[in-house]
Amino acid sequence: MISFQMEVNHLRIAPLTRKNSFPSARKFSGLDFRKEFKGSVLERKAKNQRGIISAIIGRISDWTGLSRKTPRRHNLVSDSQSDDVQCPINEFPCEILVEIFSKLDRTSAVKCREVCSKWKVIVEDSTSLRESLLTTKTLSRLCIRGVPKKESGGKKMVEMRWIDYDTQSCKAIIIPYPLNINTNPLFFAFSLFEIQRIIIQDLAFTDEIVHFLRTNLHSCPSLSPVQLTLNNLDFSAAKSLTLHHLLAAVGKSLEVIEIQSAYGIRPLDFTDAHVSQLDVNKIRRLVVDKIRLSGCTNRSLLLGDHSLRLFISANNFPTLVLDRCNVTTAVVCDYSQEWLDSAQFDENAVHRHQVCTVKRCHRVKASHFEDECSKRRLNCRRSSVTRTTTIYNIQSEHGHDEFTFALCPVPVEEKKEEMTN
Amino acid sequence: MVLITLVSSDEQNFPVERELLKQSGTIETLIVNMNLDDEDTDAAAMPIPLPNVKGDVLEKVIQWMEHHKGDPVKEGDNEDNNAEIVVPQWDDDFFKPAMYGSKHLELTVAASYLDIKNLLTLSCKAISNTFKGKTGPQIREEWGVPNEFTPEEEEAIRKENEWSE
Repeated sequence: MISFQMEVNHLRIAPLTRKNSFPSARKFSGLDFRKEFKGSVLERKAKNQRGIISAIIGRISDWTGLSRKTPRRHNLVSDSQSDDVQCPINEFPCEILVEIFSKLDRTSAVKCREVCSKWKVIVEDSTSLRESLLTTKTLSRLCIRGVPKKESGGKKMVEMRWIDYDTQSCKAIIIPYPLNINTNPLFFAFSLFEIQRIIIQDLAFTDEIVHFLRTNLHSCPSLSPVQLTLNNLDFSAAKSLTLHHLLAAVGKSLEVIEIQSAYGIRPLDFTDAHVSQLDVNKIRRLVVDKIRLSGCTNRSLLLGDHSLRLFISANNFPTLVLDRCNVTTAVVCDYSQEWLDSAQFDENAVHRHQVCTVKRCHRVKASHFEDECSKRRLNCRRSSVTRTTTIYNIQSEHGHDEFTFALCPVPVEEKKEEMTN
Repeated sequence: MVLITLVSSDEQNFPVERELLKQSGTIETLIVNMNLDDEDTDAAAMPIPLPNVKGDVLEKVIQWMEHHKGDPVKEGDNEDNNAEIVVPQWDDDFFKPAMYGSKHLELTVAASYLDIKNLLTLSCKAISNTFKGKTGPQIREEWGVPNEFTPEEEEAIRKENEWSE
């Protein structure tokens, strides 16, 4: 008799077509296992075990007037009182709700998240919906931008905009600053995204932003962006670890990394150690440009020879822009020489061209540069000289390949300061 | 014509044509496994108890099966064009009177239990059709779902939905 009962109850809870739709059933109370528990064999068992105690408690509470709420039974079909159910649709087992949602189009299915927390969890967690309706969307760019107070009406806001090149579409969401993962989680949206490029601009680069971004990015089904651009960011609140944390999440897949117009940045904020978090075989472009270092002007980022040697040893030569970095003349020459050498083994590439720009680096000097080149038997020719920039074209003895090297010296005023110091 | 008796949870007997029951995966499996098709077995003497289905619901189910007699039964899941399924007029009229009440719910759950794929699909589709083009609060009101979100939460979810489209 008992086994028969159990079987019946089992069937009631789990219809035969049940799929494992909720592998990650978690966090929200909306899944409501309590409902399934109510009226089930398990509950009766538990009640029998605790029967006496609960009877006593019941009696005490009756006596004190604290009457317990009698749990409503949730037997779906055979319950004769089911006509009284106020919200019949939420009495459905999750499988059937999934079945219903799967008949919708994507937009309507997503809308169902707004109805109640149970539906929200079902839409978010159902694997069969993921497979059929809520498939991943590829974002060409994700731009995170601080909105100027003028535009947002006095409040500090952050705009997150995605752009899709294929469909020529873009969409933005504006959320209050500072970014708070608890009040503004975007897990669901991110769980639908595959992001190719991340652009952060016009913001203070802080641990909070990195945390917000990392936690959201964690929901992406696959995370392998090819580009990270930090544009016009205030680094004054950043620590060396801030960028480390971001690169730990996205660094290994990057092909392009750009830090432009960073202000308040300190020597430790972008270093060789950060570059070694990247996959040196993948990087095609490394840009550090228009850097405004905080504090004294004649310092430079601790990004230098070590990084260039990493690229040389990987035989991968990205396009470089290095502003206020710690590279030296000798290693920059090594870099161009190694690039020219690497070309000789590549028969397919007839006319290759590579560019390297070195700006305001104290340890690279024009006078040394030409000497170093001739020492290495490189054919170095000054092709244009302006007040701020000297451009050299370097060719190996035999090759047709050309390495263009642009050198912007340290401004004269700074040099004077250096002398006096 | 072979008749098989189904017994609902409230012990009502429903003699049903053998042919009709092919639409129900659960009963079909049962019949095949128990060799009820065998000529020697007295099928009528072996009523099939359905303890999860009430009489009035079972009656509806049988009514539906009679109308859809001979329809091809879908094999496996076809989830490709779920959004394009059309609910025929007859079914629409059949579901409509009880749509927002628990009767339709019971019918759907019974379809799931009895594994009648076409009925489950159409019944779910009929429900999902009522969601189309509506906002969360509208669906909530229509179906009597209590609102559990604070206005801020609701706004945040709505914004995120729009953004993730």
